[in-house]
Amino acid sequence: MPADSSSKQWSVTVAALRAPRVLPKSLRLAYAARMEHRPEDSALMLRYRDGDVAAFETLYRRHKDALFRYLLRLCRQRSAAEDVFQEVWGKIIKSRDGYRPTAKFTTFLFHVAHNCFIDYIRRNKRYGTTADVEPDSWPDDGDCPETLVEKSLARRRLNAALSALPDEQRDVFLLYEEAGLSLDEIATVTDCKRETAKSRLRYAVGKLRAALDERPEGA
Amino acid sequence: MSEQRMNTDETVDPRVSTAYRELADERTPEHLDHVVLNAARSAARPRWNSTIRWLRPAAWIATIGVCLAIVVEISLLQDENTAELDGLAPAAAPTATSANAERIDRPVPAAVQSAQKPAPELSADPVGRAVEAEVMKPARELRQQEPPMEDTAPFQLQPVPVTSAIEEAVTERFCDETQTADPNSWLECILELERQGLHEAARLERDRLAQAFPPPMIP
Repeated sequence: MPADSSSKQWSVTVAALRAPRVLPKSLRLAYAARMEHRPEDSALMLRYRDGDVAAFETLYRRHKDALFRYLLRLCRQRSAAEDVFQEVWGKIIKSRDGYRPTAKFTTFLFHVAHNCFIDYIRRNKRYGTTADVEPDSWPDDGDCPETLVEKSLARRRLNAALSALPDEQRDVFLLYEEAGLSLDEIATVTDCKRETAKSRLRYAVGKLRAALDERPEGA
Repeated sequence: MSEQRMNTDETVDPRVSTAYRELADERTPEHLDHVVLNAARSAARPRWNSTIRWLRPAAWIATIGVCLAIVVEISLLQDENTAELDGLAPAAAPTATSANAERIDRPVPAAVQSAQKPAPELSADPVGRAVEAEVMKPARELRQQEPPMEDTAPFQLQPVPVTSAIEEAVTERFCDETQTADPNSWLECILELERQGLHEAARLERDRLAQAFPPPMIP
């Protein structure tokens, strides 16, 4: 495959991702109506505190993937991420009686996750020696082979750059992307100042952007 | 939401964010879902236990409260009864007097009549008088020891002490053991009693002699 065609394909993919996704009006209304009836996380947690297990299931399904990805990128080992994941939800379950909706549930959840990760690092002296998160093992979307190759390369570069980030910067970036927290909330979760969180996030994004901008060898 | 945060923070490159979104498409393993949801269900179940934990002291408190209420109620009732009796006492006196008058007018039953009969006159016989005096003495003493019968109390015959006194008098010996050991000396004692005019005592001793020794031995 010629190099110019590959770069054209890459730019097309990026342009498609950047393009605003406009939904038909009927779908937008249906989506808005559905969002209106979506119960708040804190309300679900309070319902679970009162014994409603279905509320917890809804809450769990809403946040489980984001939390798992956060822990997977943070721990860099699938088994460790699974252990910490269980530990986090175990603590959430245990703390249901004393739960007060003083902050966003996401902030509470990722604060617990952050603390569990810190505990995991303290417990596990071998943390950071190996990483077994392989981007190529993830399922494809049924794209053409060239796109798959491009995506795989991009994933590999981004994953390598993400793994190379210092723990604090990676933590802040993942809290921003996966948990959708603001800088103030990130500062709360990581027990640092807002400016510190912002600085860490800026450094992390700069390094990841540099990794994305790298052209593959031979391009 | 991410775009809004980017506008406010101006920290994150949308290209990095989009690339990360493409990269991060891992899902939570199903076995973790089962583990967490089962833990949530089992944690929600023992809420009954916590209720029962509160139920036991609550039951104790309720029981103690009911007991105290009963005790207080009973003491109040007793106080009320005492107060009523105190209030009725002056009014009850004339009633009792009139009741006595009615009792006097009423025909007296035969048993009561016999009990109310004046004591039979002591016989002229000195021995019989002595025996009667001995028989009646304990009854008289008992009557003196008894408190005066209240007007309100029902009239009751108390023959038991009198009977025991009679038995005691009948079993009394007029001849001592040395005299009763030999029939001749016992007979002499009986004759002496007759000589002294104690015919009733002599008769009692003669009967005893007849019981103790067969009749042929009596002259």
